[in-house]
Amino acid sequence: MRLTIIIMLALCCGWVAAHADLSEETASANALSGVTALSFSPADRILSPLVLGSGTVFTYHLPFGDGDTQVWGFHNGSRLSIGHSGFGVSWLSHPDYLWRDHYLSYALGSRDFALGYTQHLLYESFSSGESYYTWGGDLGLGFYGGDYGSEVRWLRIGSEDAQWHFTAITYLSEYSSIATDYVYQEHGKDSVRAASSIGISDLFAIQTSWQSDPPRFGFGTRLKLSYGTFMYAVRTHPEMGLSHSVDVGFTW
Amino acid sequence: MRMLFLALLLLPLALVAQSEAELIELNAETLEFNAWQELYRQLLSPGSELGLDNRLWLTDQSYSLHRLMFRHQGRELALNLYNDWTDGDTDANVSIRLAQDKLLRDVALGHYRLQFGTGISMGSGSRSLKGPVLQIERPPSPRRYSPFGAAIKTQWKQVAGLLFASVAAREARLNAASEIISLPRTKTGLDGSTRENLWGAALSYEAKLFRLGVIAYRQSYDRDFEGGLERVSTAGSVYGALRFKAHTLDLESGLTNDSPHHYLAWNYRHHGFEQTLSFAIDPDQDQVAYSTPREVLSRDPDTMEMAWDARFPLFKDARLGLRFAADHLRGGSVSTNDLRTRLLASFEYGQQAENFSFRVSHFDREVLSHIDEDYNLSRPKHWRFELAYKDQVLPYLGLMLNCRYHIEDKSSWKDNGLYYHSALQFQSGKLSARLGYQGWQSSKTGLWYEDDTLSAWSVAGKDDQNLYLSADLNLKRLKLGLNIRQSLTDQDERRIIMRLETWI
Repeated sequence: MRLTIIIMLALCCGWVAAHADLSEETASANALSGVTALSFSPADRILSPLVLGSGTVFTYHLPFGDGDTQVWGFHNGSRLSIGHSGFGVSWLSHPDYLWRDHYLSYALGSRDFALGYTQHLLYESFSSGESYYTWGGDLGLGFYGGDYGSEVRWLRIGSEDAQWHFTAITYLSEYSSIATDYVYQEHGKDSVRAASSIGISDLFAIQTSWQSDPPRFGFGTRLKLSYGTFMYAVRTHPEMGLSHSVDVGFTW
Repeated sequence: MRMLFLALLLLPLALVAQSEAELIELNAETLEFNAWQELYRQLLSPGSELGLDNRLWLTDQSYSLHRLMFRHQGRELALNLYNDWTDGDTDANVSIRLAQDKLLRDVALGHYRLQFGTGISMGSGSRSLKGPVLQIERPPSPRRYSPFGAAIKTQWKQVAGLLFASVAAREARLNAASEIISLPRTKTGLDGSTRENLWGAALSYEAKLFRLGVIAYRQSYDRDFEGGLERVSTAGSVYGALRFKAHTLDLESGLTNDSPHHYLAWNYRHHGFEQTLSFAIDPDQDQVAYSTPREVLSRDPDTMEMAWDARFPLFKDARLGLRFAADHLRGGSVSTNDLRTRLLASFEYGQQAENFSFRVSHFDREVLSHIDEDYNLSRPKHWRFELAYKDQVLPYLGLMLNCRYHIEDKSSWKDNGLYYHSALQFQSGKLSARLGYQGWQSSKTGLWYEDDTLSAWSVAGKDDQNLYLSADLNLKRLKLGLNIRQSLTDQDERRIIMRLETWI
């Protein structure tokens, strides 16, 4: 709780925000502007080791409405006898550029606490013939209690795109919650984000978000039928087209 | 094509069948042989007398495999037919067996394989030290050469005898003088050929605490060899094994023409811990046609190899495996006498629903390249990290993950490759299905000097990813299988495998 208060105070200071470089291609990440503290989709393991949902999710992302670029993903999460595991791959296809993010994740978690780590291996190749591997890691720590929670995430550790996320969460009801997120980047501009997930029932939810510079809005709807989940999200950009995402999942 | 065939058909089986972790680069023949023995076991279910297995691969180079096995009261017929639809090549092998509990214990006609002792002189391809001293085995793939003729095993109490003879036509790489340059062990489509004659005898005595055996055979070809290999080989080997409580000692020594071969192994087991310490000097693998190399690192007849294999039980459901081997050139100069090594370290954790394993491998492998009319020998170091995970998340649904990161570390550049495979496995009654993603790619990176400036370079290597769907329907006496794989990087690249198995 004390950590939550500290983070809330920090967010109130009104730091200047900027945009983040990490791809947020899953539908829930797109709708929530990467505030994965409100997500239960196993696909969001690619952005946070603290998402402990169990299931399999296929994702499709059309960034900025650019038909030449598409991002696909296949993500899995599972509860083990000790802890939670997650693994998956997402790949971007473009005529001149190819990008694949393979990751493995493990987390220890309970209702009050979560600690997790994700190892990424990113492969990039260019039409010029060059290709590169890049290793990266995500570390996350979360505390949850009563109506509040907080998370700290250090994403893509060691890379130029490394980000610190400080998140404060308020649980409004069983199905609804809101969160604010401050993103610090050593090699980029910081940003502030706010997100909400409002559950109409356990079958249907609406997720919305906003982030500062560049100002972007995200909106998504999630439909859950028995084990199956379907989610569509759209996100704006001040200078570019809309980004669309679709997730089709099977959760247990 | 052979490696593709091996990888697609046999590797999954080999991984199931093998008891020890192996590297396919160093043990392809052993893995293939073990996989074929597993295929034979799968072909005939208990209570059936006739099994048929037909598999068809529809790709740019389509091929099919047809197998038949009939067994009735110790009599057995096995027929394997491989058909390459692109080249029109057909390869077949046939094995007729009569096994009975009499003095004439086992008779094999057609294609067969033999195993004597440790296999270093006459072996089937398997490195196993289990089983009788003298064994007649079924042949592996019809693409691989096996003796063709007859083998007879007799047994009276603890004494067993073996007589065998074979006449087989083999492909040969010939020079202008029609001398043999080399003899491929698999069918590769060469025009040259030679006739291989093989005959010999073996004797063994097996008591509770010790086992003894001796073998002698003669192998000859109707053409001379280019270089130092002999047209006629006479081989002899003596085998002895001693088993005392937790200790087992295996020793085999012999001569092939004037060249010695030796294998000595000490095995110790205690409360789940097991280790084997071994020492091997192989015969020249180009000289003997059907032996199991005990050395894993080299096929150079002038090397000797020491190996240590160990398995440790850690805690409940967890095991640790360590395998180390090192060889060096006998009589080499100081500059050439450096060691080549192989290390496999594996950790396995397995419960009924969850299985996890992680393996680190390191091995040295020489690569001979022909550049500017000179042969260059480079010795890259290979590192490999493999992770396998399987979780039965629901009674009818399982998650699978296999990934492998490989580093080929040369002096001036690295070649790093990743293989990633994840899948969902459904099981409901007689129907099982799997939906998965596979991807692999490699990237070569290095540094070079240009105008006294150190620059980095990188080049993309192989690169592909695909989605696949496979389904199997298991009925009482029928099994239908379908596997469809679609490349995500090339829309025209797809593969379909159809399988039909029947038992009567």
